[in-house]
Amino acid sequence: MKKFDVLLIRFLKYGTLFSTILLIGIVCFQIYARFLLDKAPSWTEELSRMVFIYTVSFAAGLAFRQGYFIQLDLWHSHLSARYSWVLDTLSTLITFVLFVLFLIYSIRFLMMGMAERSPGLAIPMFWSFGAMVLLGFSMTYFAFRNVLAHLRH
Amino acid sequence: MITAVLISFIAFLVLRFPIAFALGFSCLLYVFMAGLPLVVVPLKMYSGIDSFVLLSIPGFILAGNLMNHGGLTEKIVLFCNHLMGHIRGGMAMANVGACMLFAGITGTAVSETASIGSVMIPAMKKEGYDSGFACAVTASASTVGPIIPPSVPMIIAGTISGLSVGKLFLAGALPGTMLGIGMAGMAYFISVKKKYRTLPRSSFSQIMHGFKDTFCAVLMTFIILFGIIGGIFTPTEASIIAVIYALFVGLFIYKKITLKRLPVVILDSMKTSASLMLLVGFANLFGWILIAEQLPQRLSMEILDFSTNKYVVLLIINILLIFVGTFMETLAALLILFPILLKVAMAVGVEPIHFAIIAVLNLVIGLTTPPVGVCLFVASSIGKTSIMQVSKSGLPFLGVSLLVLTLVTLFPQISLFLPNLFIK
Repeated sequence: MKKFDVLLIRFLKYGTLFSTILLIGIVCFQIYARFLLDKAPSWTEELSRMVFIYTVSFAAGLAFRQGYFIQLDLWHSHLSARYSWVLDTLSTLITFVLFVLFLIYSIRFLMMGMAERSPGLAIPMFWSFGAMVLLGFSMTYFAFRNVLAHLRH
Repeated sequence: MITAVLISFIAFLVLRFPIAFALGFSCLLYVFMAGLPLVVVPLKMYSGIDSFVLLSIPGFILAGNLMNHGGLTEKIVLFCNHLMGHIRGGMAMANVGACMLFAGITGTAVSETASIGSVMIPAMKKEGYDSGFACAVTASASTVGPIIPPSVPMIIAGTISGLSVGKLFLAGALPGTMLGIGMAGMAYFISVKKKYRTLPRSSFSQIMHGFKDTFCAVLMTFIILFGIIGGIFTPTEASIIAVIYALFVGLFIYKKITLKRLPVVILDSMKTSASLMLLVGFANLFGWILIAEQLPQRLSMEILDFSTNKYVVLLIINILLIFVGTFMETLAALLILFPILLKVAMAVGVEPIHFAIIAVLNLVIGLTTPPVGVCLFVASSIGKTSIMQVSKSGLPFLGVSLLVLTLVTLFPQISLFLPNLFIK
């Protein structure tokens, strides 16, 4: 499992870096085209939105793993270690359920994209909707790892 | 059914769920109960983040991080100290000034508290300032960040309401400056009263040297702002230009960023952006549910039944937003409440741009409102001071924020003057 962790994290990191650089490149090309070419291509905005959604999907799992999501800490610090553990375990379990369902239905969403084509690039939306599956998978996996870590604790 | 969703959302928040997941799970419960197809969850998440304007958020976050990693925070703090250190309470005012300058680089208050606070709070403590006061000044002054452009909450407000982000950026400039000047004035007043030490006066060449060092940061704000106002760039393009500019400054002028360090900065920025975008995605689903349940109309009718007087309605909205802002993260609160309350405000004749500034101002005030203002927590952990002490020292600054809010609410021209002047 640790080997898979390393591979997945590396994949998500490289994915995030690559998609970010691609995103910057596309927007730069859009600016360049608008000022220096006769006509700015219509596909740049569409492609940049797609790449942006992939950037978010690649980075979301990493963000979740490292606790980037903001939470409200009203009274948690006043709880005993035992109650704190119970609440945290409950929270991680529910998060896991949320993303398992998200993953399952993001696959259905992906299938919906088979029949649709993007207006500018005319590529199947399947490719773009795939970002939701990636997001669902990485979040589910790290939520699962969280549940395991809590139960072991 | 909507009551169940709202109660479950609050329950999940109290149980310390991340806000995005609390939203997601309460929406999931609604979808279950309403018998809707669950595929609506990824669909609404996708459509929520499928926006070209939203793309500017990771851009501005990355540009801010690049500048920060390039050593800009220390340079801004040093310049402000050169400029104001010799005045009584000069370091406190320099803190406010640094936050105002830094506001043009980052668009969020919490990151400002962390960046400026990590340099300024220990330095102020060393010079004999009360720890609580040092933390309170930093936390309060950082709320200027989301008001002065570029501002992440303004981008969100523009995205969900269709308002021009350029106009929103301009509309925030004057209220943000007023807030900063007010904070600096209060810091001076308290410092005189407590007889805090002064620093030796800096020479003209030191000031000029400091100015030269921070000029790049100021220039970035102007490139962004005037690029958008002049119709040269869209906000998204401006954010990418800001990234390239910050990268150039970090690599070749400040020479603090190395190519080896660059992936770390990019990854950190994208993780922060992704956590915000998941919030945006789930909030899109939440908003869709609220509309399906006709909650905006119901709330609007309730408020308008109570009064149709513009100022009474704005007072009710202000109280509601400050209360919500105290307990909830700015962007989450904005995403959920702004579209609903905008309709109410427009029904009594409030300009949408004016209302957006009021809403953002209210929510950022919540960041320093005891007992759960996030900036207070960040500052108190940097200053290793109790939250009570920081909250107590922060009360006069909270008073300044409320005064500015009142002025901005009562006089729309404060927000609308610059957008009307520059954008027709």
